[in-house]
Order: sequence, then structure tokens, then C-alpha cells
Amino acid sequence: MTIEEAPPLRRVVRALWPQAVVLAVLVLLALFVGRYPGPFWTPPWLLWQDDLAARVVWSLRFPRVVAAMLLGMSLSGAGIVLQTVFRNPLVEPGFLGVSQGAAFGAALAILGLGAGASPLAVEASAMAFALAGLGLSYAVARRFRFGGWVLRLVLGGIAVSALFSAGVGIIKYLADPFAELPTITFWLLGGLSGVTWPDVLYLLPFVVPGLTLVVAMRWRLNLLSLQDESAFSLGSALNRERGLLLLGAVAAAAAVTAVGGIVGWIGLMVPHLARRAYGADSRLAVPAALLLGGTFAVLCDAVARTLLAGEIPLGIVSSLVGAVGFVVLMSRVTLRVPR
Amino acid sequence: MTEPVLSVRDLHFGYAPAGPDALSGLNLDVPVGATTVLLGPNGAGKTTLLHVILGLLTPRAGEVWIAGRRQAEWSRREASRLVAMVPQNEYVPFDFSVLEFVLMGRTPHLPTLGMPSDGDVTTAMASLEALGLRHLWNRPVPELSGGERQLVTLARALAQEAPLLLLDEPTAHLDLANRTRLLGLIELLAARGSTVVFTSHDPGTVAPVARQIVLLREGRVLAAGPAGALLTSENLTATYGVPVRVARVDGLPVVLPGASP
Repeated sequence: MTIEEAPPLRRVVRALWPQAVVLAVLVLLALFVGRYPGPFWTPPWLLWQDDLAARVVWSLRFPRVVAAMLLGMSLSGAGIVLQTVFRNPLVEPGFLGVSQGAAFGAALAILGLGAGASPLAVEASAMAFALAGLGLSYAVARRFRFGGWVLRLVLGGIAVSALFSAGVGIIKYLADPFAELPTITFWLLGGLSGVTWPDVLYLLPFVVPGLTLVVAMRWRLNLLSLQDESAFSLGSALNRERGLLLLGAVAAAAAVTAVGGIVGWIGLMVPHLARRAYGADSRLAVPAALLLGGTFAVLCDAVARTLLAGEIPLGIVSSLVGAVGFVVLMSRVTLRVPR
Repeated sequence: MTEPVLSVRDLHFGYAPAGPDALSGLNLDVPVGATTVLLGPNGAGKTTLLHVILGLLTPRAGEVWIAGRRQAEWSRREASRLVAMVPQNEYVPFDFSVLEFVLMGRTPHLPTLGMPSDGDVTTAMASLEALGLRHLWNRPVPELSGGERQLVTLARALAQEAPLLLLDEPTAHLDLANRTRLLGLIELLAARGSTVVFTSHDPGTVAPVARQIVLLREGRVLAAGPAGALLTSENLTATYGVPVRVARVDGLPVVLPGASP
């Protein structure tokens, strides 16, 4: 028996082309799914007959579908990086102060600028505080005098998240219950309604370099799942490589969180799905996680904006589908959690 | 007289900045091919010493020389082609297959951001073959027994093709059969030209394979030399701090607890 090793790109293409096709078809379908002119479906020929249909598809749905794809890819890419770097399969991308930081930034902007705050201002504030959450977790971890680097970073992330979470609580308490509070609550539930092309353009400079870095460094990511002394003896510059991977992954996750709010479960569940389907080796698991995450988010977003007359927050759909999926996954696969 | 592949000079190391020395004034020479056992009680500084040699820990004072240069002067990649490490009881949280796990040992020979090629797979399979583990190649590492995992980690170090191999307590969790097998493999590696340095807290098992034994206690070398001359009841009593006697069976030392009758 020979065990053959194709060049990396060919290997990825050969294993994952069906996933890529599924994602492409889904993106295409999602453009024609929605509630105009009637529920559930916009016939494609309307694009040439109905100006409004064309505007809905090209200016509203298309950027939204692209944003959903980037959101799913970023969250699951960040999820697989964090789980591997922390050698813990239960970590999710919001973990290093990013989710709660973004929530605090958004809530603060809504409180300060009122319920009618411009979405870009809210996003900018969410992004600033998401990155501040990451920076603060890192700074706190450096000051801790307890445990190894990984444990300190985990504890730093927990402490900073709790801090921002308390801040969100204070803002909700202060907010006008009839105007600002519903806006904050809706933002916290996550969603892509109102996403336009400028939002997508604003995502790209964070998402594209971040995910490119993660994909390029995916073999190095494998090494980081080993014990320190093993990874080090194999030539890993531990803290530099961990730092680069975390920065790339978390910057992408922070950007999509700023635009899409807190969308749970994708970053936790999709990496498990990818590893279960394609093995733990990051050479396949990382690109698989990106494709599966994009697919899952586009699907959830299509359900969120189509199923009911009103928009269902994306975070609710992803958590509902994600949680059920996770239970099924967990009961069919053995996960190894360090004790 | 060959140049030592590893040489440690007056090494001091401490974990906390102002804390006590975990290694204090340690000297060590390992000639090429001379299997060396670092022997001592728990907490003697054996693992710490391996980590300093590897470069994972930075000493307070003193020098580590590897293949004629100071340890710190080698780049990460150069160092990874010189020194391989098998940690005690490697824990792997994800379901890597044995082949994927052993392939990671090829990383020092890949270009920056490169991935393993056909040739690397051949080398990895040859490493498994050399240790009699080829049949395991497709098994998930977390499902292996402790003994198999230890051997597979050794195969990874072998695939790394580094002349100096550091093994941390390689026999600690192994039963008699696996221990015998592992010591046999260490002899095989030495015969193939590797220089093996490994730690142990059990003087009884290591004598047959050791060209040189270094007795460590509280971060210091008590004595160093060939097994036959070094493993005496006086030396071991001093090392472990409890009465120990040494008998001889077929010329090899057998260590028994308790004072001589």
C-alpha cells in the first residue's frame, strides 16, 4: 500500500471542492430567496422586468449574503485557531474580550448617539472596543503572575469579558427603555439587516488579511496543538507564532462582530464539524472550517430574513440551529477535554 | 577524542526571578553517540536541564554548547534540525492520525510556511517502520495506549533527523515489555549514530543502555561516569537520600532499596 501525498493546494481542492460548490450554489440561491415580491422567492427573470427587484437583489441581498459568508468564515476560522492555540476544544472566538468588547462599544455608541445612531458609527465603536478587548486581555495576561502564558491569556480574556459585560449591563440600565434599549438588545442578538456594500468594504481589510494569514500558517498551527517543548523543538517560535495567528483570527472575528453583532455558536461548532468530517490536521480542517462556516452563516441568514414577515435576529437562528447541531455532534463523536 | 555534541558549562537557572536556583553550577559533556542518562530523584532538575538544553528556558548564567556553537546562536530552524525532544507523556487534544503526528517531525526540513511532501511521508513512514509501528499509521493518536504513544512520539523525533535526541522520562509510564522495547530502540538509535540524552528516576532499568550516567541532586551533578563504576550504593544513597544497595547480576548493577544486611 502506498500513501501518497499530493501538493497542498491539489489536496485541498480534491477534498473540498464539493463544499466550495455547495457554498457557491447557496450564495447564488440566497440572492433569490427573501420576501420580495411575495414570501420566500424572487423569480430571477424579475431582475430584468422589475427595477425594485433588481435593487433589492443587487443592493440589499447581495452585500448581505457576502457579509454573512465573511461572518461565517471569520468566526469559524477564528474558532479553529483559538481552539488549537489554547489546546482546548471548548473555546470560541469571542473569548479574548472581543465579543463583550464589541457589545460594549455598540451599546455605548447607541446610548451616546441615541437610537437613531448611524450604523457605521455603531460599527466603528464596536470595532474599536472589540480590539480594545483583545489588547486589554493581552495586557492583563502579561501582568498576571500565575500559571503559563496560555492560562494567563485565558484568565485575562475571562476577566476583561466580565468587565465589558458589566459595562453593557450598566448601559442597558441607563438606556431609554423605549428607544435605546430595544436598539441595544437587537444589536446584541446579532443580525445583518441593513448591511450594505460600504459595510462589506469595511470588513475586507480585516477579514482578507486575517484569514489569509490563518490559511497560510495552518501547518504551523498544527505544531501549536502539541505541548510547548515539542512545538519548540520542532522549530516553532511559540509566542510569536501564537500571537500572529491570534491577531489575524481575532481581527477578522472582531470586524464581523462589529458589523453583525454577537452571533453565537458558529465559532464553537463549525471547527468541530470540520475536524470531524476532515480530520484534525489543519491542512484540511482550516479551509474546511472556512467553507462550512460560510455555508452555515449564509443558510442561517437566509432563514433569518425569510421565514417570518419580520426579521429574526441571526444570533437566535445560529444558536438554535447550532445548539441542536452541537448536541447531535457531541453525542456522535468523542471529544477529548483535558481534565 | 571526539568533540562533545553537547556541552554545559557552569549552568545556573531559576524559575522565579529572585527565587532559588533550580540548576546551580551544572557541568556536563556528552560525546557524539554516547547515550547519557540523567539520573536523580523527583525534583532534581532533570526536566529543567533538558528544557534549558533545548532553549525553551533561558539560563541565568552559564553556557550550553551544541555542535560547537552556543545554543542561543542557532536560529530556531537550525536548532530544530539539531535537537529533537520527546516530552514525558505527550498529551494531544485533537484526533491527529499517527502519520500526521509523525509528519510534524518533518517541519524543520520544510520551507517557511511549507507543507510536507511525498518525500516527507516516506521519511515519516520509515521512522514508524524502524520502530515497528507501521501498522499504527492511520490510528488517532489519542486512542493509543500510553506505551504506543510514547513510541510514536519517539518516531516523530526520529523523523526530525536531529543528531541529538532528548527524552524526558521515556520509561516512566511503561510496563516491563514496553520498557524493554523502548530501551532496545534507544540502543538502536545510538547504533544508527544518534546521541541520546534521557532522564530517569529509576536507576535499575537504565544501566544496560547508558554509556554515561550523570547523577543529579538539587540542581547539581553529584557524579558522572560509566554505569558500572558509578552505580554504587554510596553514590545512589547520596543521590536519593535513602539507603540503597547495589547487587550484580551478570555484571550489571541491580538496585535494591534498604541498607546492606
